Amino acid sequence: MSKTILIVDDSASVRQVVSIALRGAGYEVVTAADGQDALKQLDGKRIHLIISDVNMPNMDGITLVGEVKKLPSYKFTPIIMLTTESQEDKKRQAQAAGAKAWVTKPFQPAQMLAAVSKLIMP
Amino acid sequence: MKDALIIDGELTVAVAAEQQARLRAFLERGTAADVDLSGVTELDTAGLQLLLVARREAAQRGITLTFHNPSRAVHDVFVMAHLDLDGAPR
Amino acid sequence: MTDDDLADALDTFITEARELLQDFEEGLLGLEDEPSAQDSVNALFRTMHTLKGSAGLFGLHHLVAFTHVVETVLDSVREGELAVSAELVSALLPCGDHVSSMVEGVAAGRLDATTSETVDGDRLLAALQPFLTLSSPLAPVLAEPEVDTLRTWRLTLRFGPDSLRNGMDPLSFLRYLATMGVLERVTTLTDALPDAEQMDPETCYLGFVIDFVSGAAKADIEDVFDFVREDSQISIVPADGQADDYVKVIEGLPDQDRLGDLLVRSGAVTDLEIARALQIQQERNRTGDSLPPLGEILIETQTVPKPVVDAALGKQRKTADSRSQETQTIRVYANRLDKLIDLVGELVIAQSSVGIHRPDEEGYDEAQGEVMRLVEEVRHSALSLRMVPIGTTLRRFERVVRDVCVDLDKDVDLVITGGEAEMDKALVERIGDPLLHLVRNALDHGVEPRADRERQGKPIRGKLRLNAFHDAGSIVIEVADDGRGLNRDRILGKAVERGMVQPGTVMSDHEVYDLIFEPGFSTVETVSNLSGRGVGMDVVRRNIAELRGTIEVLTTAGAGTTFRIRLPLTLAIIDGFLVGVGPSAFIVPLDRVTECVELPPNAAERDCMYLRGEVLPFIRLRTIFDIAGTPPRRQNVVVIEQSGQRAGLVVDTLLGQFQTVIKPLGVLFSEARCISGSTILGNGEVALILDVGPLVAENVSREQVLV
Repeated sequence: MSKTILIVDDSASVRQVVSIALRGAGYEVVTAADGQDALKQLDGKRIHLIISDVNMPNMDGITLVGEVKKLPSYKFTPIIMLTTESQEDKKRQAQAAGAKAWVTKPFQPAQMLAAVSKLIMP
Repeated sequence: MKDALIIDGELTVAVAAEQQARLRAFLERGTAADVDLSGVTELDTAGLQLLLVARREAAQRGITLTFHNPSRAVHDVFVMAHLDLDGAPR
Repeated sequence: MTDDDLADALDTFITEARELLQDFEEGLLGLEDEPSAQDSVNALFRTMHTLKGSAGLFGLHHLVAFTHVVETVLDSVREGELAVSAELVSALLPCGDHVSSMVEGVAAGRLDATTSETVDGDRLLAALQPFLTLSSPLAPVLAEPEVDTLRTWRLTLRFGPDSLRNGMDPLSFLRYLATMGVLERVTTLTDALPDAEQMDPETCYLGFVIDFVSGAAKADIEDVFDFVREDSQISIVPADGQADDYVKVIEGLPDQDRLGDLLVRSGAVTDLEIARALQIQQERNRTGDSLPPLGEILIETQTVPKPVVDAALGKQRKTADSRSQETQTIRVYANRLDKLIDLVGELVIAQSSVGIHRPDEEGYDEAQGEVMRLVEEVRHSALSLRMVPIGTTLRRFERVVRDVCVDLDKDVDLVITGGEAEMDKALVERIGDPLLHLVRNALDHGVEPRADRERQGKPIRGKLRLNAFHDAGSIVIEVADDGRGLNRDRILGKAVERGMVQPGTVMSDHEVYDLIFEPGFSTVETVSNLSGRGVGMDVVRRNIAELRGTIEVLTTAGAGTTFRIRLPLTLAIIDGFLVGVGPSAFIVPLDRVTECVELPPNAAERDCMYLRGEVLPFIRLRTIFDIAGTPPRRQNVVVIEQSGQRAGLVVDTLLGQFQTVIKPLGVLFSEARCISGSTILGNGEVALILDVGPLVAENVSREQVLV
């Protein structure tokens, strides 16, 4: 049974390219465009890992991490934050909220795949 | 006399508390046992340390606990961690 | 990823980019009308942020590079560091157009920038330059690590208790490791496992010791544990039996001063491990008194085996040794050396010319005189070899200023002028420490923190000036800051408190400021990390005095402080003017002598005379040095000048110019003011060298009062 990953990013092309890369490596992928959308996606599914952007409309990534940590079935789910090199403070906030992994934007699909593989294998 | 315990589904941190309760309740019975692991779909560090503690606990009580029929997931972890299924760590 | 998939994704990207850019322009125009709208600023930032992120995924580097700068500018607006202005909006508008045109280029199949796009882009970025408050360079694209020879590493991994709760499964990291190499031996560390009753099923208790064989660089292995590093103990050391390999590598490395650099270059240690060890070193230094050696910490934390550290220490020592041999050599201007050799050549000829004449022969005296002249010149020329420009010493402070500024969180520009001024090498070496102290003092106490400067309307960046110049046979070195200046009241208050000055004493500004050079004087309440460690200005003054120099301080409240050091050019030799008083002989440094006149008969009883309409106060050497005997009928006055003040030395006889080799006075005479040394005359007698500075300072003001 392969592992399912939720990608949360307001950019359709990021969602698409990351999906392609992860599916190619054998993961299942679901996507969401913002934090609220992501919480809906989590409901009733078994998600093994969440990748989330920090800057999004409606509900940003850090708020999302806080919400996910409150859900009993997802409180131990690994979360990768997408930060930029200029947002060291955001990275800290995300870590404090419970997202201990990160990938720095802009990234190549292979870098994302490496980060994911450290946390779960397909 | 030997008992059999079947552990199936995930053996991960997400369900570690429930699996711990099952193992402990079983150990309370105080009989030697074969633990059937063929139905384990996923094993992480939380699950592994539960199995290791159970085996040690059993030995302290003078019970033999052996792990049987490992699923693919269990087999891979034991091989990677260089652990024996039916004995102390190598 | 198949080509079809990629093309499909690229289409999505282009559609998305077009929408974003449309909004970007509208948002910018709206911003001009309502500059405080946080929402629209956020949206603008997100546009560039998203475009940059997506472009990176497709490897569109030209788009990434351009949007990165625009994003950085918008980020400072978002953080409130940069205000919205019409200029900013007009600089940003064409940036949106430019990104659009690059996106359309991508749509048309061009995955790289065209030449005209590059030119346009550079022009637009140049226009954004004024708005870039802080530089945030793009993370460099990492080169693929070279696949090295296979090495065995001993990994000891103790994961933090919360690892599992954080979604970090240690077994996952092991699986990932297995993709980079072979887990040759794995020992599962179960010693931390508690009894069944005490076990928290969600806490991580297991650790692993792994012998890992891989061609990956140590830093890449370290990277695997990026996400758990903060809470876990991760140690990666060369496995047993591998230490020798590193020892060999280290021995083959080029010379290096720094232990850390050697170890990192050998591949045994990573930058991160060095940084961590340095942090431990700092912490221990703060808690204890001693600074534990870096090597010891690395061994103690089991970062690297002892033989490897020893090899690196050996290498470091060797480097230092060869360096210290270097410092025993001296750079000499080629033309000066040539001149010296020329002179020696001439001397040899002159010498042989003396040899062919008998003493009573005509021309003998002339040849002898020539030899004497040449000997003199040779000595002069030899001494000039020791003269070096002071610039090298001053430029060393660039690094000091930078480091100290980082420590103090201040911005200070160092300006060095007059570095070409020359002085004796021995002096240059010995002035370094006092200068260092003054520089640190100026940065620490002189230049105000940024906020204070801003409040006072000063430029945020402070300025520290090091200036050197020749003045009347001395070299003057100034350390000037544009900081807060000395606080007269505070200095005076402290002096009174310390019992150095009686309360209510009337003192000139100059006298007050001079107090800072008194032993045990320090106005700093909190001992800072840099200066104020007990080494005070009194030590600086003493060090300078030992070099026959003086130091003075000039200050203007709020505008800055200048320390001015005046030193002789060389310690070894001066041009002297020989005078006689009774049976004694004195040398006056020639560069202080302006003229000699006969003592007018009517001035014999007075303490001053008129010289071309100006009052010239006298200093009677006979009186000062308590020389017995009556003065001759005709006495002479040597007019000397020190720091703009003139005085007349009353002496018996003028004996003329004399090249004076200075012999320092023994400790017995260290308290003797007015005398800086002695010299031996041609007839074997001793002459004292007058120290004009103190002589004038101590005697003239008193004499003048009597006028």
